[in-house]
Amino acid sequence: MESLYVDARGHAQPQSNGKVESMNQEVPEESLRPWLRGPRARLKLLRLMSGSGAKCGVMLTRLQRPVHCQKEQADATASCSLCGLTGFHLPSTHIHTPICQQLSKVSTLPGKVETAAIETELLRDYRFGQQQLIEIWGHACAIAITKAFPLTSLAKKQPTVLVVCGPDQNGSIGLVCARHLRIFEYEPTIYYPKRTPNTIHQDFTVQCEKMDIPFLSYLPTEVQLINDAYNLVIDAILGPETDHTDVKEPYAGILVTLKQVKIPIASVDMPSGWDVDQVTSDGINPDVLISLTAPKKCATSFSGKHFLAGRFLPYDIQKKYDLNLPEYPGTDCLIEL
Amino acid sequence: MNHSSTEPAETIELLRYLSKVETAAIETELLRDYRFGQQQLIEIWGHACAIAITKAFPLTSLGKKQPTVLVVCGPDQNGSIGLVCARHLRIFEYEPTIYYPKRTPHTIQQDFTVQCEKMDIPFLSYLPTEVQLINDAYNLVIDAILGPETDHTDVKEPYAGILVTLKQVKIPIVSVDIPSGWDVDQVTSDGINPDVLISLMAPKRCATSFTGKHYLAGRFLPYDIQKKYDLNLPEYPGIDCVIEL
Repeated sequence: MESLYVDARGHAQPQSNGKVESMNQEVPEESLRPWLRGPRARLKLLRLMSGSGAKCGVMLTRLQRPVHCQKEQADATASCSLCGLTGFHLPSTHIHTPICQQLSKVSTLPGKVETAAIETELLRDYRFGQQQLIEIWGHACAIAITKAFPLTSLAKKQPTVLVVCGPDQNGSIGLVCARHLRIFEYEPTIYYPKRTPNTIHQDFTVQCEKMDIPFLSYLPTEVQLINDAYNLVIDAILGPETDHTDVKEPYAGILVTLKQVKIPIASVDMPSGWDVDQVTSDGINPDVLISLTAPKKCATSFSGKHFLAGRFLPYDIQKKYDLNLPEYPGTDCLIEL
Repeated sequence: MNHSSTEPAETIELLRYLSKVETAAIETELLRDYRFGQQQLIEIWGHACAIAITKAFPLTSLGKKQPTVLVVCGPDQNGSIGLVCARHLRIFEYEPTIYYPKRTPHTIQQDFTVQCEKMDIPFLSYLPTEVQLINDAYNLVIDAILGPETDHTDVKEPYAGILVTLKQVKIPIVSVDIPSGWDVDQVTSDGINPDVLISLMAPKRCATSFTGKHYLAGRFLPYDIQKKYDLNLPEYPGIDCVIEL
């Protein structure tokens, strides 16, 4: 069977006479040959594809040989923003074409350093305010929760949600998220063990209190109580700014409890306790991840529902950090990855 | 002409239209007692305004080749809301141009200005008095000049001149919160006549006789304030932050 060898950089190398197995007959034959010849032709096909709304599965190639080299494997963990599938670790009948790899480029996910740098720039050069950013992020998180867990889909009699808030920015985003969920007619309950003296965080706390959102004074260690009382847990404990190797009490204990809950967990920005830069195997395992601004490196292996929320990033920052964010639909502030 | 909310027929609760004093009181309470931040509120309002504009004037409905929008911003809070609205319209792929004649030294206002500049939104250095130029260049004008806090009897330059120009434009005008130059408490007959009004939080008294498209934007008011001032706000659909009245 004739096939193409797709090398690690996504260039198609014809093995035999360069015939491509086409699983979808929509794309005309004339466009296949120019596609093989260079980057300009690839862009032409890209325009064709985006015009017809074709998905990346239009043309499939089959690897001539298994992927051994580590570099190839690393490049292979990119995910296609068109069809959502990731990497070469797929059934052999669906392997990404160079077009998909051109489009995905999710390999430039920010790690801990870049995330901090982006935020510093936003505050210092772009003159965004911290209060403003937290409001944007919290609102977008709440919208994501309504999409992942619509009111009508909640199993319990009351649409109860437990929001666990940490001490820093991640916690404040949780507070704003809880406030908006209240407006959207959910019934959030907040557990906010350590209140910081930071004025902005205090303001967000008062705003929630004045919306009649209950604050728990302690989190039950009896996990069944949590499973029974709430439909889901929002994990807004620790964010990318925390040192994941040094998780202090009471958060270490809370994370132990959360690992045992049976109800879904939705994490804000990244799962609390995870290392920003790499996959963590023994951390909590949320069902939903709501990445803020851009997904973090540790999210590459996240297998649950993944949203990108917070549509405000100036183009200059997107270009500077090579973020290649997907296109948000309409006026939505979030997109499912 | 009061609009009733979507309550059942037995208890028709009328939507409250606020006076100037009540508007100021609510805002003071939000900042002082409810600890909302001014920056936070302006961001919420500006974003909601932008959403309302995308509803009233969808990208595909704009007549000109480019989706250009002129945003005229005044010196106070109304102007800042216009700046945030312009920034979000840019994100929604409109092409806003801002005319912001008098920049205040207020830090928050300056921050919003820098955010817009960094989004590559052009700022005009002067507004053409030749109205046809405005009609030709833009699809619509967003009037974010004067809000309920201004004294409508004492409109200083350059705003008086701008309002004269705006009265003559042929393209649609969208006003933020109240039409600039109107008296908050009563109908003004000789002010500008916008096609669309986006009321923030709750409509103002002068809007009772407004006949154009009327939106209510900004879905964040705590229930206690709504009850205290008897606002009887309508139910927003789903997770929308804008509702057409």
